[in-house]
Amino acid sequence: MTAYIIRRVLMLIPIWFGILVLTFLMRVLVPGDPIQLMFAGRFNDPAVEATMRHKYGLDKPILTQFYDYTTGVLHGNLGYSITAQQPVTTMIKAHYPYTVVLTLTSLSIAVTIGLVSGIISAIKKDTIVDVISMIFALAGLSMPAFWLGLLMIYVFAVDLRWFPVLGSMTPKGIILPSVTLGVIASAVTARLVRSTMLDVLGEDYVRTARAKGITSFAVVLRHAFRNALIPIVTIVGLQFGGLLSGAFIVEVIFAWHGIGELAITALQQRDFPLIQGIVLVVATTYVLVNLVVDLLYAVLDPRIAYK
Amino acid sequence: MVEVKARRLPIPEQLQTKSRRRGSVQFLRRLFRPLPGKIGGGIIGFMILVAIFAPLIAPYNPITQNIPDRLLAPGSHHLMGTDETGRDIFSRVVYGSRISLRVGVVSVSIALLLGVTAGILAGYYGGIVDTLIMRFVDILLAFPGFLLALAIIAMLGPSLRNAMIAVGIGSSTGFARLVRSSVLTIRHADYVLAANVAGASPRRIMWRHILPNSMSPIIVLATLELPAAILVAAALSFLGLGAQPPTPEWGAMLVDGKEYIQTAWWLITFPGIAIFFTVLGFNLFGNSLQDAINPRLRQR
Amino acid sequence: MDSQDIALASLYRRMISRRTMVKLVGGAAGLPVIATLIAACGGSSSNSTSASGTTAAGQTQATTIGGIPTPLNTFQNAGTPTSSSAASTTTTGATPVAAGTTAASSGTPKQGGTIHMTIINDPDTLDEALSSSLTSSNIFQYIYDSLVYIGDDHLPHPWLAEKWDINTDGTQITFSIRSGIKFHDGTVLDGAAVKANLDRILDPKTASIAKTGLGSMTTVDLVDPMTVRCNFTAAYAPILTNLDGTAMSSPAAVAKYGDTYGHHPVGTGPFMFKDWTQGQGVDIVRNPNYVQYREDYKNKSAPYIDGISWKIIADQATSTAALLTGELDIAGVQLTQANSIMTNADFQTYIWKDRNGYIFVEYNMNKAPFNDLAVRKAVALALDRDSIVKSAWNGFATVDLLPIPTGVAGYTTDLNQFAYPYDPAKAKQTLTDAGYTAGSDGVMAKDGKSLAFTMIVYSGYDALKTCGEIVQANLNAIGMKCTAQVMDFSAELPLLNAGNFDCDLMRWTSSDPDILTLMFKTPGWTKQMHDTTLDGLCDKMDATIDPEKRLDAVHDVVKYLLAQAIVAPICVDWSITAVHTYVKDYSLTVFGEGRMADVWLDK
Repeated sequence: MTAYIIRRVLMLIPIWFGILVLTFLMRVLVPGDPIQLMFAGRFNDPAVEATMRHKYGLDKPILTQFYDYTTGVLHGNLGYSITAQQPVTTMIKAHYPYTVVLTLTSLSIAVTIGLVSGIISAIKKDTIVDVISMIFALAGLSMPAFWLGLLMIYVFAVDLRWFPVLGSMTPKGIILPSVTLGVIASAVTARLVRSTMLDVLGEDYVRTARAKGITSFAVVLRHAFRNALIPIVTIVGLQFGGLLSGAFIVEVIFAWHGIGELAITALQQRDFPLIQGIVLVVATTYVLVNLVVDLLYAVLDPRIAYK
Repeated sequence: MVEVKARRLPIPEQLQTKSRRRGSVQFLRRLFRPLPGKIGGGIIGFMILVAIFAPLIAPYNPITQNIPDRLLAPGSHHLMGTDETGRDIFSRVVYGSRISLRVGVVSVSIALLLGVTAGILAGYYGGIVDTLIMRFVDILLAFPGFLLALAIIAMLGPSLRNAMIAVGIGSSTGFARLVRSSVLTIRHADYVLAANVAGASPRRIMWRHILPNSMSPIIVLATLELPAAILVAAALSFLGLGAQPPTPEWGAMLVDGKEYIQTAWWLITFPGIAIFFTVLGFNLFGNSLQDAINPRLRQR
Repeated sequence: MDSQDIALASLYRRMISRRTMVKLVGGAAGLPVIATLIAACGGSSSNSTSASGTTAAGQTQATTIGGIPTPLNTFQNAGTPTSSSAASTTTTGATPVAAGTTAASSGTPKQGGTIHMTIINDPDTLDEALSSSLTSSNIFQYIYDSLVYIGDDHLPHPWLAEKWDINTDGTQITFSIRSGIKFHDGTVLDGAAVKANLDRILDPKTASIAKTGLGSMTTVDLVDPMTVRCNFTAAYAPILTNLDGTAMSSPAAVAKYGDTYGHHPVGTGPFMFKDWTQGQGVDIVRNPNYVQYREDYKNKSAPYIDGISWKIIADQATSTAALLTGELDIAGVQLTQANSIMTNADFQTYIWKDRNGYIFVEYNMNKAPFNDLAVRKAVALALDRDSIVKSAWNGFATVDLLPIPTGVAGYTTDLNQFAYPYDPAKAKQTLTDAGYTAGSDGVMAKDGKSLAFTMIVYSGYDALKTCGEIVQANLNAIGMKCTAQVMDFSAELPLLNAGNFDCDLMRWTSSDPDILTLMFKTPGWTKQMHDTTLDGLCDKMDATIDPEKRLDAVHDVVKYLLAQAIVAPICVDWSITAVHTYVKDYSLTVFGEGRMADVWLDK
């Protein structure tokens, strides 16, 4: 077990390296120059421009920059944001908690909706209840995020005045963005829960239990639900990664200043050190969360053992 | 490790069992008898018909501007109203079905091409090839998805074609992992070993024997990735990086309509509904397909 | 440069910030007001229905004085789609402000309350000398004061500088600094502090992006403790405008905080910096010791409100929604949604029409097809600007036929006779006369080369995209084949600078004719210009200190630009700010900034 964990954590090293290479390739391949952008529409002073390039190390050959950056990362230094004139770590520290909180709240909503409609669908397979339940779960997934977000804002904030438009770390301020994201993520959860439940309901021991006269509901609870935890854990792992990076449109719409919004802005402004920092942090989170998920499998299902 | 990987994608795992030769009639019955399959299949069929017969259905040219008639509410002349340059929204939605279906199909085809190739190579050869390919897949998976798509589009330049490439690359990882695990289970099957002994080339074995036998989970995943691709393309339009004007792409229409959400609700509503039903249709269909293929469910 | 700028709804910073804006130098009274801030829309909002059509969209009324923006709950203007419905709307409790007079009394100001506003992203730094962000410049104006300010008459007025003298050849400007002013940290603003600020910008080691805004300024001398002399190598007309917006920071604070000064700004302004939470917003609080020396403010002492709190909102639809729910007190509104806000009794709307930015098509004149003057003229003639304004900007824009924004000194409709108004028949004729004939595909061609090209449109400004679609349709209608390509500005800039483009749809802002130098003098902002005649005209304009002579110089540049059809101007998009009616005594400066030190809350 310990050896397995160590091996998985060590897997971060090639991933980090790969991401460093990829993001540095972006510097070369993505057109656009942050310093040039600063001077767009201004009278250009070559001396000032040169000083700026030097300040951010952009005057060095790209391989030297790569070396400098990589050694910096090894020392815990993610560099200096060009557009914000601040250390990248400071910015990520300010934005990251927002993303994590939103991810957790929306995941709990997704899992709740997904469990309920998934289980109902499985029990009432191929009936109208199944259809309605699945359509309900799929509805969120089928709407473009910004349309759903705007509808939420105009219905629940502007017209009904139940919640504020602007997201904030308060019980009221977190609901709209979490529900928007949660509804979107619930579909995948519901689908997984449904198919796992169907599998489990088809298993011999459940059929035996049923034959023995145990009511359906008790069967579901006692036997099937525990097995359904595995896909839920899976989806939490997958969605966590997805939400971390995929929530940016919802973040923009609700003025929720998480890492997704920061990343998009950074890319648009070609603030490469900031992009690199964000990608590294998100990728690391993704790998670690999935490690935890894999370990949870072993807890939930004794048949799985890691060597 | 293999077991863990497979666990992480439970959908395919259930589907890995070699598909048995059964009558296609029976299969179709399993697929379309349940209500969701009917609804999903119906929606998809309808969208395809609309896309094919768009020139016959649409009353107006989707890109012809008619500024005096701008922002007309839905009525008898314009079923879904007109947009800010006086174009008929109904006609744009009808033609938009072509674009959205193309986005879905092409993106998923690209994902299939890349993912299946990588997965087969990794699974069949194993060793260093496997390690290299799968580490790269791991890196892509860990890379924030949308940012990756944006970066690819930034490199290639924004256009519908490049958006499809970006979406395709992004969703190829799922196929790669799925195919690889299929290949690993099939590789030692009798018929593959037999082909090997008979002197078939590795390429022939991969394409003629392994791929067809891992097809069903691939198809299911493709059905589910297709609507996702349509949504990602719409999200790219949010940043102006998708279809180029004046293409009647639903996502782009939705973004234009966002500006008028308070004053002309029909601009955002109709393309939104079109996306909603198309994506919903594919999802329902994908679900039913999954049920129909799932061997365990067959026994019930 | 104003928070209401819809163009800024995009996440980019693409416009010239305030310090690089240029303005006529000198203090000659009686100078004709070239472009007024706001076209008068009737005397007051309540009876403005009768004024319908009196101000044709696109033409400013040179007779308007004062330039105090009119609250326009019942807004009337030709080209406005809401005229009939808006006309019937009765005025709300808002007190209309008659153009040309000071604001009517709206009650006794009360102290207290915080105003909530929005910025589109984090500031880069709150150190004005190092900032290149538009967001930051929205905040600077409340924390920092400057030596001079540009009044509603478009002329410089004394602020921290009591007066100034310019020597005859324009190479020396001597400022007398007002005494008794203190920075927020208690240190005194004197000549040495002013010199320290200017020296800091001039020092190449600072790498200040503001340096070029000081033009040919080389050194600063301290004549006596309260007198500073700036020395120039050559006359630099835009300097006083650029000094409005050149912040005076506390040298003690700059020394104290060093590299982190940008997070601890200290000025002399009406508000003091309180807090900047990365990713969330910025808060400032009233400076209780403030004395207002600007004549265009009603309130001569400390602000009435306790402070201003900016929340970062990137998406315009979101900020409009937050305005509707009262989470924001003041916000720029999307022009596409302006109709519904204007007829909403909860708001007063302020329209800044004669803005200093404009939309235009610009070309790569180094290659075919736009190296051909006839083609450029045909493009300019083909643009149906009325339809563009109506369609893309919902009527909230002014048609501009000149290559200079309506809100910039030098704009005069007298020059329209040299321009290219919409005339598709003449556009086609121009092409035919130049030897172009329709090819087999219907596209005009000459010597086997057809008029097929790509037009780049930057993403993030939705109205601009619609504009691009209509321009595309207009050009195709006269036999060209225009392909529109939307991309983000960051990707567009390298293409422009490398000359790897045909033409593009662009928007620039600057409140001075200096915009022409920036855009067109070799190498031009695209780095594709090289016209020595034009260079000479621009140089003359920038070195002409005398206001009236400078106007002539501006006109010469404009005429030359028109003769060569160097850009195809389209329109000036307006900025509409909506203010909740409980916000009293709100008004806009000539740069469209809210006078927050005058504002008080009645709720």
